[in-house]
Amino acid sequence: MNKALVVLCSVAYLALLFGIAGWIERRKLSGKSIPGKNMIYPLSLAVYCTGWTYYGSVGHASLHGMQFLSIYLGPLICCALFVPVIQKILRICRTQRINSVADFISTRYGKNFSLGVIVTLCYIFGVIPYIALQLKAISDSFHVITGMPGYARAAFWHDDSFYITILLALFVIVFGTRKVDVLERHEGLVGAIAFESVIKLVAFLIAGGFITYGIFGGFKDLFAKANAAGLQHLFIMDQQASGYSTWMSMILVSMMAVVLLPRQFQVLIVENKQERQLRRAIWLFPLYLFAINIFVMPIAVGGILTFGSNAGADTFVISLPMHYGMSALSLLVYIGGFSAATGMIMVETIALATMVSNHLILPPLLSFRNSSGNKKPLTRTVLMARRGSIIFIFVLAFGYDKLIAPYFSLVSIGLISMAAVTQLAPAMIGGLYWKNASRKGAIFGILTGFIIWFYTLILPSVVNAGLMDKSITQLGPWGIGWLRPQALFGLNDLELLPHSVFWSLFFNVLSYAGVSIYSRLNAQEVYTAEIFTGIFTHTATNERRAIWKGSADMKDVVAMVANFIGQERAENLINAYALRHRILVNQEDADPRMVSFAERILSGVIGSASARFMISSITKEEDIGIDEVLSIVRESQQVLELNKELKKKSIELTRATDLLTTANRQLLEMDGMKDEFLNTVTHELRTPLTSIRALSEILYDNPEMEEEQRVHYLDGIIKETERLTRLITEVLNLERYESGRQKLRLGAVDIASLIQQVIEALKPLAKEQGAALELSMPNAMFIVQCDAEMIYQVLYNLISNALKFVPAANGRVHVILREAYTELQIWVEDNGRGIDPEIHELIFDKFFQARNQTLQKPVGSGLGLAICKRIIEMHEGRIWVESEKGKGARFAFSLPVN
Amino acid sequence: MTAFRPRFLLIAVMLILLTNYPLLSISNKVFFVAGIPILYLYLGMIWLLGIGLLYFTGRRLPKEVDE
Repeated sequence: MNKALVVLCSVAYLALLFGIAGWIERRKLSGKSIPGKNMIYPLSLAVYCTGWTYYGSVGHASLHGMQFLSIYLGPLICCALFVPVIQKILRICRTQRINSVADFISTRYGKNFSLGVIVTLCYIFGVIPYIALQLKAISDSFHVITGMPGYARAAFWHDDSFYITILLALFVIVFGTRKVDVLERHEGLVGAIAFESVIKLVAFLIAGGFITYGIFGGFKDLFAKANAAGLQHLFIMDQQASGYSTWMSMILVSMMAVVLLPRQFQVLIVENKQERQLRRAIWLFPLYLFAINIFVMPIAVGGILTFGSNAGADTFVISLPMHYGMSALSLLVYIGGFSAATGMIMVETIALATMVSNHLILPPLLSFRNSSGNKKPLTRTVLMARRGSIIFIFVLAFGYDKLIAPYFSLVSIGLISMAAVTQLAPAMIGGLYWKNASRKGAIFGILTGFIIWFYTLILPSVVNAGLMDKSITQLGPWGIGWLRPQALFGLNDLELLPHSVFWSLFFNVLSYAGVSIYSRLNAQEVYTAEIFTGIFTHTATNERRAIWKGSADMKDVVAMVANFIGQERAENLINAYALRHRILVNQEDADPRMVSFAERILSGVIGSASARFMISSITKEEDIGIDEVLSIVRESQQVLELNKELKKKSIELTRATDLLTTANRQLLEMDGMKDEFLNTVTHELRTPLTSIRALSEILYDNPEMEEEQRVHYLDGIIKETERLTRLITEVLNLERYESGRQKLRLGAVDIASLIQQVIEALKPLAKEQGAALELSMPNAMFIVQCDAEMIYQVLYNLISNALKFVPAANGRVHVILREAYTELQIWVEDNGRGIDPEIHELIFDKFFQARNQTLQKPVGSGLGLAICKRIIEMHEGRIWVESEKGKGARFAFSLPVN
Repeated sequence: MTAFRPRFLLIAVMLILLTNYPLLSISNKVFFVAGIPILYLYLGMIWLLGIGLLYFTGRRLPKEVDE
């Protein structure tokens, strides 16, 4: 393909990235939202898939079959640990303003300078080759697509990848070092990375789809052809023990790498805005990995089938479409690979540059400036240091790519890097959970692990590449056979990677734990250990209580912060903090909390160790003993626990108060009801009493009364007395039911015969009223569990009530027994004057009738229906009335049938 | 929050066991199911299973994970 076109496309693509990053930053400044911003975080994690994934996976698959998948299964497993583990790291980094793994580890072990330096150096050794690998991927694919011979040893200014490198460096400097505070997120850059993730996935899927379905007849066809061509070994992985151990070690290192590689830590932790973003990432990121791996095996198989061998398998993705004359597709594939490589280079370089400038360049620079008394603003110095680091990293990577990389395949370098960063895992994970882990332990662990990594993995690779004499791997150093780097202590069953991972981690963990156990922690270490391991309880205390004793001039503190981040921003931050924690800013001596806060701001810019150093240079500090640190930490922990306890108590108290208030309201209500009840009852009692008294007085005053009239009066007295007695009985009954003192005497009762008994008993009354009393019921027996006496009373009340209200002529009361689903219903219908629907509910209230006293003399006490209702409710049945004024009434109740 | 930690740890342990020796050796064979190599199929299934579990477990996380 035309070389100029390819170059043009590459440059245009980079320009597009510039455009996207710039656009996002402008939108953010003007406060507008960014489209698809929920997807940016999960997509940016896919920076894990580099040019190595894009090209190298196919190469790996064509050699070792399914083994390549382990590099993506590790991240899947790691995603399950995001919530339990990564969230803790996120919280620590946010509160402590940590911006890199080097910063994390050095802060964890007492803000130690040397640890920061060691970790940074490890990264330079481990990761620069990985960056170089991306440059190699770009130039390899460039050579394939333009059809030029690879690695012509031209002078570098004739090499196109040189100019692409310069463009990339420019991009990183423009969008990666905008602000001095590393914790200010690079939204534009991350947005561009997310965009690149989409491009590489789409390009790879289109290429894979084309090769699988366009060139071949789908998965089935491809696999059948491969089977026929004797490629079965690609569908499995090595079945020997060494195969499984390689697989396991690859899963392990990729699990660690997905967090500990500088670019992963950058996008996962530093660029994270909210912990809740993890929710989406934990399933979207593995899904992305799944998608980008579906076609790897088909492409590898298709390439071998097409070209006859696995030579050049690293570029099958691009050479296959080329072979079939699909120029447009191969250009798309090239751009996809380009985006995979550039994305990795950009983020990795920024993350690495932060570490290099904060841990290698700035500490000596700052200490020199301090001693020379130079007080000029440092913002520019910090930015320049970071930019210088970026250029330094690019130069290293480019040089490595030109001088050493040609001797290695894509696959080996990536795994070597991952194994390198795995050496940081024990110090990192141990630091999260183990309080007694010490600075010395961490230094020993990392150094030991790294040396063994170098000896067992780098050395044999260098020898294999032909850059060193073979005697060391064949005979061992100085002829000592059991020291051979690929079979240390005679362990020769394992392949290179698992062998190295095993021994390096073995000694790493052993020295980390061993030295930690036997070393004493200093005060600063104890403090950071407490903060890191208990971050979820300390998030709040950490802000409120400073572990710092000494004196400092407030002006000096403000000036120091302003020196790094500018006067205006410094004042804003400090005033906001002072306001939040009610600290006086205008006093001469700085509050210890303010000093700690200033230190944290500086940590975000220059790393915690340098920040510690800068703060101690402007303050007079007193040593704090371990006991004091512990007592402060414990005290704040106790205060926190006490707080929690108090909060719980207070919630309980509120709940109890609520209950009491409700109970009180109920009592008052009941009290009112009782008053009303008493009122009504006495009123009701007085009416017959008054009658009795009046009648008696008449009798008393007129002894000469006629016999007939006297009998009439006496009859009245007897009737009123009966009414009085009935009323009192009913009041007592109701009281018994309502208080619950009356227990049900349940028994199997034949309802039909019960009704007949009642009707029999009421026949005289019916006759007296001149009313017809009818009964209709199905021809069957109905046995119900109930209290016969009580139900008798209900029936009696309802039917006698009905009889009382029927018209004098052709009065009629009809009792009906019917079954309805799970209940037995008894209706008492009359053709009386009916009941207004408005009072259907009220009619069952006590003394309802009395309260609505009309001029007529009441018939009955007004308690009958209330008693019925209570009885039916005790039987878990219902009672209701259906009626319209003037059309008769139907009183009905139901009893549940089980 | 704390209640969710064991669930995720359980998923992680399960995935580690399912993707390693000895369970892995069951499907590490030259054998085709519907024309697809069995190891390819098996790992794909595990992968999707893992994604599904993480999706459903993550969805139940309280909204205010931040505090």
